[in-house]
Amino acid sequence: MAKQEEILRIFPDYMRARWEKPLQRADKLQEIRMGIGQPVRLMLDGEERFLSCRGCVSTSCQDAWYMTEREMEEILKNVCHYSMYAFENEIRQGFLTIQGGHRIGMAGQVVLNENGNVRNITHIRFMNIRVSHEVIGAADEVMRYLYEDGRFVNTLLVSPPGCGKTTLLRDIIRQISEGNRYAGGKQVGVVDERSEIAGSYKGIPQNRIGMRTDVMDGCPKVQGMMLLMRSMAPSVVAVDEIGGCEDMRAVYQVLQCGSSMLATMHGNSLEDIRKHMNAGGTVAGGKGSFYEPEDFFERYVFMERKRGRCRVREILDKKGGRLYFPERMRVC
Amino acid sequence: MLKLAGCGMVMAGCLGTALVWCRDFRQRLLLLKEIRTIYEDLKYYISYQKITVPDALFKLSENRNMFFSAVFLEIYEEQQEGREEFPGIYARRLRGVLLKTPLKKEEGRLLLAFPSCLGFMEERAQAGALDELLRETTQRIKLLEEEQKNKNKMVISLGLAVGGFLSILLI
Repeated sequence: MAKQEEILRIFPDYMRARWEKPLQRADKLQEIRMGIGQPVRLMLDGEERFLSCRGCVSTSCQDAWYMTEREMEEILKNVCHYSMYAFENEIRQGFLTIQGGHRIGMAGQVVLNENGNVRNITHIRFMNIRVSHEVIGAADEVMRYLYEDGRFVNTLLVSPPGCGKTTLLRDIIRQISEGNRYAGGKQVGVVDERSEIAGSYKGIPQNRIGMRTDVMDGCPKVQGMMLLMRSMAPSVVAVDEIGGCEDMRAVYQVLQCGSSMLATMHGNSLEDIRKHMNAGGTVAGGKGSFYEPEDFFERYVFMERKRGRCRVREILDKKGGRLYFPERMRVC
Repeated sequence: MLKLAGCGMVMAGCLGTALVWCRDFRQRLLLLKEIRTIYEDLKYYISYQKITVPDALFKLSENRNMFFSAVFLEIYEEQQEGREEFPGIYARRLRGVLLKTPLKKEEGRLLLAFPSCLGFMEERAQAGALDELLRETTQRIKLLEEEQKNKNKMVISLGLAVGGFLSILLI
């Protein structure tokens, strides 16, 4: 199904005519932001635009379409196929993934349970539709640095948010799984806690992640890694946004089992990585001892965003030596 | 001789009409029982399997003995195409099928009213919302069962009596 069609299906049929014009540029569309009493905003190729009731896209919000409560409710019902109870867990987490891997973030009034955890979000008043854009070939330039004698080395992708970590991770997974010029295809296990990597809809990956990839969708990272190790025997385990001692303990167990690790982390330097690894505690039982990045990873791929483009800044080896200091390779 | 044959045919016609009425009555009862089963199954799919309503209809359509299985499959398939919203597809498709059944308007409404009770965030609340329709359907079945006991014999007797009366008139 075309991206245009996938996004159009989010909206009830009477609203669809308004979306035809903006969706002609679906490949440039990054986000659709809606809120009750607020104008409908589109992020088109990095720039904010407003959608009018007649379906015109403009830079001014004068004629903009201001979303009503009823319209918002109808969109939500339509997205959930009139079965909101079936998406209760996703709504509780604040987002749901639809066909095509597009994510709909939600905000509204939060209902807490007796333990103070989020029980549900009622009165959903704000939505952010993030259009999925997978970049096939994003990892082409990086792959050669991630193998040693045909073995995929433990790799950590590091950058601040919004620099293309997940896009790069997804393409690396695809290339490991399909095989590339540096090694044959390998079995990959993905723990996709927030359905961002594979963009699974009803458990079926919507993004191209390779023919030898198993996905544990919507599962917490620590449990997911252990489940995959027990049941699917992956050669490489991939997770998004690790951090903290709990996650590192799970990574350690994966490495002990002989699998390679591919992960992402927020940060900008080796020091940031060290801090994030040890957040929330220290090594189990070890007083004053800390996790060191080199105990886990053999490659660090640092990324950055410059002039609206995501690029690889540098690639470091286990000891922090520079393997790659490029004329800034572009990822997306 | 011809008169006698004519009387016999009149009697058979009246009895036939009475039997058709009884058959329609029985059919209505069977369809209402099927609607009750549909709601019970939907409750199960919602509260235990937590699947979406269109998927639940697809599961129901797998039961080929069910009168509504074909229409549920059509609703599911059309919903998957995504050209129209679920309540619209559901009402349009079901109305067409209900016209071909002996169900009365208010009995058909028991099934048509289903989308109006959708929209709950929790599965228990959503399953609970079906209880009202389930209760109404059960009540309607009870009424019809009692009616059936009393009316069936009466209608057949009436059919025979009318047949007899018309025969006397004709002779």
